Amino acid sequence: MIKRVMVAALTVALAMCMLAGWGSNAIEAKTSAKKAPMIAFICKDLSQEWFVSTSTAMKAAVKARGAKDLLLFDCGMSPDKYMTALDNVIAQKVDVLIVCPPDQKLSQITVDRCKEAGIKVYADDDGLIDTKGKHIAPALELDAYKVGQSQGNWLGDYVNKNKINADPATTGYLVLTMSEVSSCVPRSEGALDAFKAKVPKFPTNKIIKADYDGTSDKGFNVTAATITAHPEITTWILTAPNDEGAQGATRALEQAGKDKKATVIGLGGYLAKDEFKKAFSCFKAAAYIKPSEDGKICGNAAMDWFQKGIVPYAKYKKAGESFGIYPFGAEMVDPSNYKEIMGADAK
Amino acid sequence: MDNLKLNVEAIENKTFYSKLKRSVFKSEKIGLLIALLLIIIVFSVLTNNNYFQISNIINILIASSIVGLVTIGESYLLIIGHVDLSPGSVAAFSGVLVTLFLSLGLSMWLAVPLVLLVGMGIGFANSLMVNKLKLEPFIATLAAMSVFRGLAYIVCGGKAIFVTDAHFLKMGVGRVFNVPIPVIIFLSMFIIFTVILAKTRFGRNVYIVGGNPTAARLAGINAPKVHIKLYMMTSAFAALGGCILAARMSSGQPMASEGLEFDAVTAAVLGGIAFTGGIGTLGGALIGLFIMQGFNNGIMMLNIPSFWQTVARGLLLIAALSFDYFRNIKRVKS
Repeated sequence: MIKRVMVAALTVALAMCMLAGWGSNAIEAKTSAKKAPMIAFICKDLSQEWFVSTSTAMKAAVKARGAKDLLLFDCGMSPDKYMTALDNVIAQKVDVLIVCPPDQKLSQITVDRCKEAGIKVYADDDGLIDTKGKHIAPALELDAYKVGQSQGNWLGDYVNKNKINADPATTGYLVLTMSEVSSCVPRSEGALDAFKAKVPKFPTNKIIKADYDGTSDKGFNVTAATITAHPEITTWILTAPNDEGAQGATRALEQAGKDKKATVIGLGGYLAKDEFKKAFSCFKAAAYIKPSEDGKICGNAAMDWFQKGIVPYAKYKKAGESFGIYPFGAEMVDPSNYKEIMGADAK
Repeated sequence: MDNLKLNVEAIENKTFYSKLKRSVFKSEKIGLLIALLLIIIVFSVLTNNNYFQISNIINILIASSIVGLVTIGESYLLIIGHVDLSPGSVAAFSGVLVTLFLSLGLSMWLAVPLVLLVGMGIGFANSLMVNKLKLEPFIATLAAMSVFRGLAYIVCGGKAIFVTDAHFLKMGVGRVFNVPIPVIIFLSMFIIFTVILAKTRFGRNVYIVGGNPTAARLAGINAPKVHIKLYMMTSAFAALGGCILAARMSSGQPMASEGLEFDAVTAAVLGGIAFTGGIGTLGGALIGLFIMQGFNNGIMMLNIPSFWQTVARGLLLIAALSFDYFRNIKRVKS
């Protein structure tokens, strides 16, 4: 009996959810203008804080310009789910498609299928490229290497200014990296290259690269293990390819009692802002990339393309290239300037 | 007479040594302890003795504390032949929920128990799906895993919630006599639940339900009631783990604790708890947990490239499953 009641309750709940979804779509369809375009965004991982903010701003931008809606598809980093989502948007005959593919090898098939279906397509964050690395569609790209360089430059200046490298034997640079995430590797490389250029005498045997998976917990474990493996190092400087790693490393340095002399640089700014509010934290700066700005620019580009026929980012087209690439960069934030630079994001 | 005495002594010695040899090679726990010892020796040598230092042992214990709490729950469930795939999601959901409560001004003394109650509710819902809808535990908890990961993102809008409550943060980073509080919580829970499993009627019922469900029914044991208690316990442990992680990181993060349940199950199986149910101890699971975390810590200290770390962890899992297979064969033979 209980089983039947539960099955019935679940069925009713499911039906209500479906009706609610259908109802809201129906209301929207009635109220939207006849020529209102349908935009879609297929994202490699909508669970990341960056993409949550980007897609929210993108949706707001297109709706403000009269779009019917922005359909969101989350691939969870799966190429398979990406292809299913692509089939779905083609079946729905969307007007403009924005993609951030989980694997850039899916670029050609994306462009080909959209061309067949007559759908305008361009990329956000990770560009659509051919086998030679040439762009085959417009893109707003986060220049990962350049973002990493901002971190390395800031750190290099900080080290030189504060003479942190006065005793090279006891100073170590931990470069947290995510070798398994291709878009994060250039961030770490950029940071390291820029730092080496700023502090050329920093001993290479005191530069340690360590992998984590992008979460605070693993950032903590990796940093704790590295600190223990190098007891001779008493002053740590560290860069991480996201704020989670930097936050985990900060907690590990605090646990080891080595935070007072340490300097940690994150990327993103979304967790850094809370560390800046503390009386003391060795999490001293972050490369801030504004997700709302990314989403807004990208959303407006979609509407410009549909309403005015302006191909996205055309003014950034370089000689020999077929499409324009918007170079999205980062700004360094620290306790002295984060409120001013981050604005509402600092709250 | 003297000769006879010598002969008797020789026979006694021989029996003693053969018994010792048998027990060393047949006892699962001794085998596991030898494996743990080998890990300690190998990594100590490779890291110039930095591995076996108090500070690193604390690192390993901290890394073990959250997985360890879930391992207690998963071990009980594996003993009754069930498994729960939702603890990672429940931990993330709980971490976000507790930080949300704190940001709304609730005291930690209210927020944490409230989240533990929510955790128990999730466990109760899981057990209902298993008991009443007769869903396979794997499927039921896989669904719960998806639901609560999604809810974790919904509750916080996909953004981490920062927390500044000093009392709450102590739960993650505080120390008592230099021992981190997460480690104290984990070891206390471990001792309590080891005693419950080994020394109480409830513990015996768990083994009977897992080892021989028919006998359990004939003995008048209410198996569904045991299921409910164990699912509630496992989810409550996951919720506690989520609160501790949030306190340690000063924020509730929806993407946290992915794969937590797999680490917990690996530790339990490595520690001798059979997938088929009815067999294993929490002591074995604890050794399995230390082998796994000790191994992870060692490869991180050696700074082995991440792709090789992934391979090494996979091999450890294969080793765990192979041990389980061979132990099963041995049990069937005996």
